[in-house]
Amino acid sequence: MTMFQHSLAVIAVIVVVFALAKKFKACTEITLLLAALGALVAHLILPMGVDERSALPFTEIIRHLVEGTFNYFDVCMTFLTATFFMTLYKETGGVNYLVHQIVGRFYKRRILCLLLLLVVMMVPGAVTGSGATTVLTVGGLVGTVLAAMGVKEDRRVALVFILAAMSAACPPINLWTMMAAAGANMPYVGFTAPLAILSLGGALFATFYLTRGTKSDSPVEDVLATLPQPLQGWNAVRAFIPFIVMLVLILGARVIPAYWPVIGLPMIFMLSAGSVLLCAPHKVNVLEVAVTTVVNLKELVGIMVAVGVLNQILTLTGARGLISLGVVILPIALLFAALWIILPVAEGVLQYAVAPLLGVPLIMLFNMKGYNAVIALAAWSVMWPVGDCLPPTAVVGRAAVMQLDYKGSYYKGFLKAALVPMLFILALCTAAMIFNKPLGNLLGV
Amino acid sequence: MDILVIINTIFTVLTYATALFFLIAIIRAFCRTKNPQTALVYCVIMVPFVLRLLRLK
Repeated sequence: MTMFQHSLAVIAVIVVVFALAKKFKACTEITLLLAALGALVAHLILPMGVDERSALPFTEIIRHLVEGTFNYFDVCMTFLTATFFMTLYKETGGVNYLVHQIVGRFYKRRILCLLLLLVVMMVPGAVTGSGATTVLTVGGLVGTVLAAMGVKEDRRVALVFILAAMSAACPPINLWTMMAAAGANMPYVGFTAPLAILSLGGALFATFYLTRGTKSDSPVEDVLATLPQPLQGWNAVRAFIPFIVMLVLILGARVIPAYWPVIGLPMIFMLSAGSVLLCAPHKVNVLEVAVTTVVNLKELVGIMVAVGVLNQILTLTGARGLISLGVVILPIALLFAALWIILPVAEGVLQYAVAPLLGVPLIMLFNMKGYNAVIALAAWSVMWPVGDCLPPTAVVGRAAVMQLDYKGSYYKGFLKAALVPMLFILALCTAAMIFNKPLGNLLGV
Repeated sequence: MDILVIINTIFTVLTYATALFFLIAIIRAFCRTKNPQTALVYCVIMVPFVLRLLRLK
């Protein structure tokens, strides 16, 4: 058995274990973990051909499993702390106050209101590079305002997801571009204009497409009466201080990095949560809010931990390299025609790990063929987050569903509503990839 | 010692404290659940938190 056959057999074992676990109604987190363990067992049992390595000692097996659980630990901490911050804000009544203010002031000016919501959604992801952070911090708030504007539930969740995905792709921070560019020894320069055009284009289309047909013709007082009443004691200063604290802490590291301590996103959200406690006129049980946060996020965090383990085992067994190789040896014409489907699907499986896995060899390939690698990478980096609603991880999609307390069908409701904007974004990025040279000349990159 | 180094050290300690805070919340959620699959998921989630706090990883 050659190493190629060995890796192929490991992939087959993963598929079989995944299917069997699903048949026995195991949850997605356990299914992924079992698939990783199955792959590890297959790796230990199956021969490895001419590339045969020394047997994997027991301590190394444990090390790989433990390393895997840490692959996305920082991302999990960001999810937990960002959700804790927003849950605390919601429990103390801040969200109700803000929704009342936005609806009261902008309800009749629909386009202005939608553009304001778009900006509110784009900022957290653009600054942090994480779509899930956008959903967890402002997704619920924006969802409530959209509901007040009469946008249907399916479209509401779809819009929150698309805007969150586009916010993650929006400059200045695009983690996929940064990781792929770093892996290919390419400076993170010249990406701002192409990333902004593609992500904002997609976000604007999704906003107006998914809110089409809704009218703000009910009296604003009636709409306000349908919303939960804000608690006494809240005012604009109290409501905005936590967000100002968050923005100052995030932007400080960008504006004066030499004089700013290394805080990290989890601590930024915890400090913002602390400011909520100081500003809120009503006190809540902080530990109970944390338990609620953990219960709400157990699927999301569980999947991230399990996918980390699976990713580690895929790398160990050579299966990850085989998948990567399988993509980059495709004919270039087929790549142009198929990347719009390959990249989002790969994102659904591997999350951010997809950027070094597929992005680096693709940059090398496109550069070698004489294409504009900056435009091409920017286009891929806007296509990747579109796959954040696809299984097995579906991190941003699941987060949007949870935050908006969506009760409909994930695939027939939410995903169906999001399909047209997703296809528009993928078509826009494919067009940018095809016309990479003229677009590069136009933007001066 | 440089003031920025001291502040960074404080934030590192606070990050560990945050991990401990969420580990306590996960343990509480684990104790409350009656679903064996959910309990197993909590156990898996706990692994990186425990190892981080023990500074093994």
